[in-house]
Amino acid sequence: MTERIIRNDLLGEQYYEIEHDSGLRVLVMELPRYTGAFAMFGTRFGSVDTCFKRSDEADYTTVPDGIAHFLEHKLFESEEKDAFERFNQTGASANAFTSYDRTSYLFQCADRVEENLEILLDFVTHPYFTEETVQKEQGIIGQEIRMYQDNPDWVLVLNLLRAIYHANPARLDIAGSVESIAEITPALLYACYRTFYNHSNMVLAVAGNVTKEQVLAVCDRALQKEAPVRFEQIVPEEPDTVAQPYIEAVMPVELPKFALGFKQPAQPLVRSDRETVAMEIALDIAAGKLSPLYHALLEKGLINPSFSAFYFTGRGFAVPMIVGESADPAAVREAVLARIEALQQNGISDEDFSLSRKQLYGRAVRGFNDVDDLAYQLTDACFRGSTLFGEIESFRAVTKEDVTEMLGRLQSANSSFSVVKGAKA
Amino acid sequence: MKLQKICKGVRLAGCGAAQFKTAAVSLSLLAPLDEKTTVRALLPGLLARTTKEYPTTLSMNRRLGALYGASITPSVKKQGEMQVLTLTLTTLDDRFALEGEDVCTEAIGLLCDCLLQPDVTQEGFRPENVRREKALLRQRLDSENDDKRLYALRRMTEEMCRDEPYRRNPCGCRDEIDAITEKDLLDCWMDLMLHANVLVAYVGSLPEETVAAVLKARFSAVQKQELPELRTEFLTESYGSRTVRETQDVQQGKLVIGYRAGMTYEMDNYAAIRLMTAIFGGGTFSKLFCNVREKMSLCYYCSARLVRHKGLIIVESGVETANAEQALAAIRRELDEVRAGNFTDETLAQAKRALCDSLRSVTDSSFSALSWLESLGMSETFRTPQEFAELLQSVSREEVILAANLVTEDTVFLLQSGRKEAQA
Repeated sequence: MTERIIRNDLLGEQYYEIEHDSGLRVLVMELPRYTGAFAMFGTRFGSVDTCFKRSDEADYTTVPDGIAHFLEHKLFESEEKDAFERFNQTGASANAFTSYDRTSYLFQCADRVEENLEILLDFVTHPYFTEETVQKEQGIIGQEIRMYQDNPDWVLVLNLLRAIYHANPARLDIAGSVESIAEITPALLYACYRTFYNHSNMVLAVAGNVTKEQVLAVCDRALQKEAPVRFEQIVPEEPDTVAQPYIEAVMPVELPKFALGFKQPAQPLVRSDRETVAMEIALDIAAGKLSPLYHALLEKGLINPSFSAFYFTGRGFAVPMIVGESADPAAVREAVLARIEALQQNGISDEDFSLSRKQLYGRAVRGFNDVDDLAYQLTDACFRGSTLFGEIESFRAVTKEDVTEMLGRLQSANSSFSVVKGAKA
Repeated sequence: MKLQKICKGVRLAGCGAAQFKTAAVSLSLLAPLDEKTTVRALLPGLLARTTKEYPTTLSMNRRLGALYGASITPSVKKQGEMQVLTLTLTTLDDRFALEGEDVCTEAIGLLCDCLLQPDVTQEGFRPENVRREKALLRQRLDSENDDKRLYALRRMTEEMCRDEPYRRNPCGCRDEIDAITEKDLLDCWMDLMLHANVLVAYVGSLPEETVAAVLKARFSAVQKQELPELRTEFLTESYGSRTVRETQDVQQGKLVIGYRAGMTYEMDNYAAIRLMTAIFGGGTFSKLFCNVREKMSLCYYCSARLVRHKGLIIVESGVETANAEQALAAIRRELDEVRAGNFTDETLAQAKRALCDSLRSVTDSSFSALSWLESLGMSETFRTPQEFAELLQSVSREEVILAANLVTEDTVFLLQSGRKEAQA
């Protein structure tokens, strides 16, 4: 077992990063001023992982869309008490979620943190799938998928990713479809589980009123040593240009919703903190609340405060995105593109750069307030090969030149526009 | 956590908490839900987005940017039969300012300016600002129809409380927006300054007394009057259940059921009813989760919650239209089970543990601590999360059963999927 302390003097915070003997990486942030703790146990397995080959197998395995999410639901069950029933004994509130590139299991509790950790580690490391329980889950997940299909914001982003990417699996719906989940079998679930739920592909993060010793004692009891599983994921060839510049859906919405996204180079698969921070600043200068663009569009009644710009990234995908609601989405698109082109030609002022940097730094510090955010960010940074403080430190290191470079990557000729509007509009 | 009086009509519910790296402060004006709801609903946006000193949204936003991205967010909601108009500030703690600036007190001063120093003339608020806020309020009211879960919930409430002030949307009526003038808004603001009670909620690392001092200095100039608490009417019993159906072009139906909880005021029999609601449908141990979701596999969500400030219990579920009647029958059956006492002592203990655990975690998030202070600071009796936990612990099984037998079904609202518009 090895451990190191990762520290940030400005924030006055630190945490431990431990390579546990079981092969699991464990992150512990001791915060004695909080009442309780938040724990997150995550694996690098999400909806984008649809085709893989293990080093100890000859063939590629292709799995149905939505299987990572399906597996998340099924892992709560066991032959005896399911995970929810076990957490009901302690009073902790437990949950899980699946995104494009990861699955996370979590709980928040005011006390009995060791008992809760033991339940978390135990249920995630003990899968139990049968034909019968797999079939039963198809009903609940089918309803979940229908709920998303009625959500215009969900459809808006899903469509944007479909317009930007030709083949990248980020264009798939996280939960899959009613048809794709019908193909899921216990054997496929076990194949995914044995590959992606290997300790070497996972991380445990705990933040709050807890000590490193408490966490490690539970890990010692609950985790068996596992030999690492090696596998490669198949990333389909993705052209440099967008698949389609415009995509539209008709849904029962009163005011049209829009999302403008810019295609980025396929590499690197995981974006650095510095790139992320530079792009966030570029988007903030172009279209954030400090920009004359935002002010002008708001005064003209073309946007409302839902208008926002952010860098949407994960393993294997990265899309600078500007979203909002408008009676005239095309006019907003035109104004945004004109603003970006003007900045590309005239350059960024020192004042805009330092103001945006200051604002975004302040917001990043706020992310250190709550134990749930901290556990999430610890996991996220670890999966990206960074540390909890990487982003904050990048705000100090980032230069105007970095931001200018990112601004140059917002090319109107290589952008896609997604609109969701009502039948009348 | 404590509640203190700043001056006439202004109270501070504060929680100095060194673990946080921010200060969160909300200023809420409390008004009745009445015929002036729409004009008041325009005020938070007008007040939050500009001030006398920063008269454009751009200058205001750049000032907030310089305060390390502080934000002042307007909101309108109802609590019981009160319309609550709120400006919420979030700002960085001074310790993390890169150049040693006084971020916190500057930002709190700016928040006070929003409420006390708006950009007005004798004729009223600026026409361009009023135009903008009217357009935003229209959009907001329109977009309330987009989220079908919230839409169904709102429609059920309107139908259930059609003869009570609670039917009103706190954001007002779309039809009334056009006729409102700049002067109406000025009169409304001046009236609120004098006659509305103000609740300030604060969570942050500055001591409560520092914040209290800033507020005292700012609010002492306002000649506020002390006003009685606003009252909410509680109907203890339903006059019989009625069903309302609507059809829209949606994938999934929404079933919402409203019950009268048998309460006569917000703390009346509160602890027993809160636990009863939890056993019925408030967690993964509950009857609705275990049976309607897990065993019957009918819906992805099916849960019950208590609206303490109005004495309502509301069940929400997303369900295939073809299965809606089956789900409704199952939900009714589960409530009957609770009424008959068909739940184990273990389930009661689980409900207590879950509720108390989350109460004890309230101060682990600045947002949940602030919400707690806002909600309790407006109530007649201020209690800490710890005091609520003690109340819940003392409830017996018999009290839960008695509480369940006071609950009466009032209104069933079903949003069905189909091609037709509304039907009777």
